[in-house]
Amino acid sequence: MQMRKFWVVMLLISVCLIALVPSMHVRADEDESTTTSALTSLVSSTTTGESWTGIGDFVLKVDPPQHTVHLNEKSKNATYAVRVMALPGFSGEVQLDIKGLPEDSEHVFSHEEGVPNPVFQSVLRVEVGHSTAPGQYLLTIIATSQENGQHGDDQRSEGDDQIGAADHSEADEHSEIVHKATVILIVDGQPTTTDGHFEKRLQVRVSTNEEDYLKGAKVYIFGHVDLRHGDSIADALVSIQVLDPSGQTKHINSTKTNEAGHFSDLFTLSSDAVEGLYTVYVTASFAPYKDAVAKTTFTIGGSDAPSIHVTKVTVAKTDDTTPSEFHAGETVVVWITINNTGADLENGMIWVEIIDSNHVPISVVVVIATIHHGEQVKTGLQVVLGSNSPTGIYSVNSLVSNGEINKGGKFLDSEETTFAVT
Amino acid sequence: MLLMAMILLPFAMKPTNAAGQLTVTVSTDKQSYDAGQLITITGQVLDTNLQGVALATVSIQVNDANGKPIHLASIISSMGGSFTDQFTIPADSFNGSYTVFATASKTGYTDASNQIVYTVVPEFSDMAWLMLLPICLAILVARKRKTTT
Repeated sequence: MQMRKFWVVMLLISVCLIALVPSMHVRADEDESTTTSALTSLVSSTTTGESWTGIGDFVLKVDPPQHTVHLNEKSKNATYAVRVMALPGFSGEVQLDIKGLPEDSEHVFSHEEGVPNPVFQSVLRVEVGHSTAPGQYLLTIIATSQENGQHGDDQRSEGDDQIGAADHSEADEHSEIVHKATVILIVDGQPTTTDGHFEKRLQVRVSTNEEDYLKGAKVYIFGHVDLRHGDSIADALVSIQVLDPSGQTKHINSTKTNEAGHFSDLFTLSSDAVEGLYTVYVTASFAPYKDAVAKTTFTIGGSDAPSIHVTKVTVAKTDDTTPSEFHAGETVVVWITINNTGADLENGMIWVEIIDSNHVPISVVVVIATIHHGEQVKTGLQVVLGSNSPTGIYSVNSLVSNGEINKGGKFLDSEETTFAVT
Repeated sequence: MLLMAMILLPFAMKPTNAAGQLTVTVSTDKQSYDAGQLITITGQVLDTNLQGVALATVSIQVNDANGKPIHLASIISSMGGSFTDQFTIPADSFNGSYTVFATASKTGYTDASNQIVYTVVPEFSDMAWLMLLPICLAILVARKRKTTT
């Protein structure tokens, strides 16, 4: 009897080992990230732009391929590991975007952009809202890189002298490499409706490739359109207007966003352009949402007004690590990098506002700093999350002003980022 | 000396903005809110002819009754000059008056500021109901005694 029991146990162990060995082998293949052909076969990739040769860019991989979220459970989120692996010869920055999210849902990438060296990793977290319709959603993760991160490098060109002359052929020089991966999000359960209605907003961001230009230089304007914390918007109409220091329009153009929600424009400053602070306005239109507007500034030969750019906002822990998520009671350190290419900003105010997943502003902190012409300032501001902080996606609104708004001050630039609380 | 002063006077004066003075209006969707409610701030940026000014930057700061900032926003006005901002009143808000300050600015114009006050009233809490209960009971008992006598 004893012997019989022994053989039954041995048989069971053997069956378990046989079952485990193939799965362990597959897991090893997936984690190795060295066999490019295996990785390539896991994703569907498309490439645009003339510069692509089929080698020398990157591979995108997203795991797991499927997630299920139950609406009747407290935690209504799904996380996916996103990995971008550089192939030999690629050294560009890769930006991540998403499409296909359900209505009333939000997302956050732990790192929205990065340089794969050789691998760049990010965690995609999708928070499904109470009123999301049950069903199966195909999420497309889009990884975009400007051709090896270079654009608008011909700043000293003596080309077209006409201010406002859009040069569409030159814009083609800024080709993009795009790779996509798809995963499935299944939502089940009973949706509920809530009393409060927070308007789902279209959002547009805009930048220029430089903050200060010489006369006659080419200005590369680029940006992105999405729903706030939601889907990237393709085919949105984007109107671009550049005003000179006196408020006169010097360039006007319109374009549409590509599949990943990106847009770009290129124009050449005249050789006798007025020196000072220029403002670039972009208006994005996409029915049924209200238009979204954003602005950025650049200078030519300095300015008598500050030209402030919040160039980077990151969230970290006090030990300087950048986690993919925070927990209630933890301290969040917001690092803000600010450039000033205009006049000195005396006693400027650097603000950080944290807004929780229920759109409640939970903290406003401020520091006073003087930012001189040509100076870059990096400031860290700490915010402690309450012990009963709700889970979800939080916004970090970083702003720079020339004084308190209740004393006639105004914001000179702002930048938003997000992080997840679990 | 007088001649010199006349020559330099135009340069010493603060340059006037060719497009003129801005005006900004600001309002809230209600005058009074409970903690946890959504507040919508709307307004419009106008020129001297009361025409809407597009692409003006509107800086918003909301201060509590103690003058402490609780919310900030930087918004650009729409084609018609309007702007909107929303946030949820924090659940732990103090009872009292809150002020929304708005400054509108645009290259070529002179800045404009305005403000509006809203109040936050506390919700009728469970503690308040518990305090009210003995009073109600006392009234009922008193009425019963009155009817029996």
